Amino acid sequence: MYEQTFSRTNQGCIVFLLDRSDSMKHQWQSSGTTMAQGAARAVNKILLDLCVKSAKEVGGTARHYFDIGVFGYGIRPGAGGEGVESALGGALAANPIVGIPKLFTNPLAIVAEPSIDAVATSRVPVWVEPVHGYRTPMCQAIAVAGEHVFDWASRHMGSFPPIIINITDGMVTDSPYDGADLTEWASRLTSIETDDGPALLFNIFLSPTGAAEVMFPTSANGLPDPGPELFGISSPLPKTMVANARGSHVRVDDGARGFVFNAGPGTLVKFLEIGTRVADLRGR
Amino acid sequence: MVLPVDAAPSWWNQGPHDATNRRPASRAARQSGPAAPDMAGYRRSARIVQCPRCGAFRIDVTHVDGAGYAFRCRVDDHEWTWRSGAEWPATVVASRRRTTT
Repeated sequence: MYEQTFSRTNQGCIVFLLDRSDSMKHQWQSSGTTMAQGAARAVNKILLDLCVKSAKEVGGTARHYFDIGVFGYGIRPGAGGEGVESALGGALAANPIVGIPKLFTNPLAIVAEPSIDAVATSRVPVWVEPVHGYRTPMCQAIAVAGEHVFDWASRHMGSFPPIIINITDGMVTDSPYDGADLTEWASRLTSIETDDGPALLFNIFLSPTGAAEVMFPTSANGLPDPGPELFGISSPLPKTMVANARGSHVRVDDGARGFVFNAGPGTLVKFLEIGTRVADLRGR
Repeated sequence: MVLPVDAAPSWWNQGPHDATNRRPASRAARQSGPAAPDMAGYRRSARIVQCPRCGAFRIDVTHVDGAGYAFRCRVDDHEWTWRSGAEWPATVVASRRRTTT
């Protein structure tokens, strides 16, 4: 279980559930950005990393190692009102889960971003924009994304199971949804499986304040709401990811869950790097 | 009369091990031409309306907003209702006793 690597024969599926509720407008600790901006930037960074990782040579085209989905919940910039929709726009809007090559060639925009030395600027692609509004329909997000994840898994039984990463700052506002509460929806999602194991659901809770971070916990003891509920629906980290985390000098105890509470900007990116990396790409 | 069933099977109640149809078709299957239709799928997606009391198939049906369907049997005037998600009424038909002449 969880032994398959990402390859062009057995692609991986990585799906982000991105909270776009009104509370994401708040400042994110001392980052100078809102949580919506910070989360969008982190997702864009990971998508770019996956594109680079999928390219055979520097500057080359991306090979089809991954399929990607990004579902926003809260405000729907496209359809209007509250709900769930793909956060990938432009040419990608029609396909909720899209291959890396298509993602690579269809960013919403290329923007200039200051480099570390603050002299030159680098140009980076943007796929997801920061927006916020309305409440937090997390159950509906799982229901909508789950349908696409299920369909993907049915066509990729030999692949590493889908990885779903939920980024939120708030408490779910639509539980129960369609007769099932958040725990039941999460259970339904993680019952989707390939021959390599059940789908993985990881959760990241963002905190506007600089409260103490709890990363990869083994229990929910001491966590305030909604920590226990989010811990409860988070999948245990597979061994390969535990090794990734330890390789990145992150302390992870046996039995740790894919969950971080009160994540700041640095932790979010680190978590996404660990949660989206299975093993070295095969067949480059 | 065949009545369509509103709710198709949802992704979450197609269990992980209840899914031979989730697997990609084998090479042999792809080469042997189109697959036979899945009759189980038809059964899940439609209901054949039959009077639960006399077994007749000649039924009048009206769709009632918010209340499902109302049925009336043209043979014995039996009336009943059904809404999507509720248990489909069982048909119990007693065999007729033959009369000797």
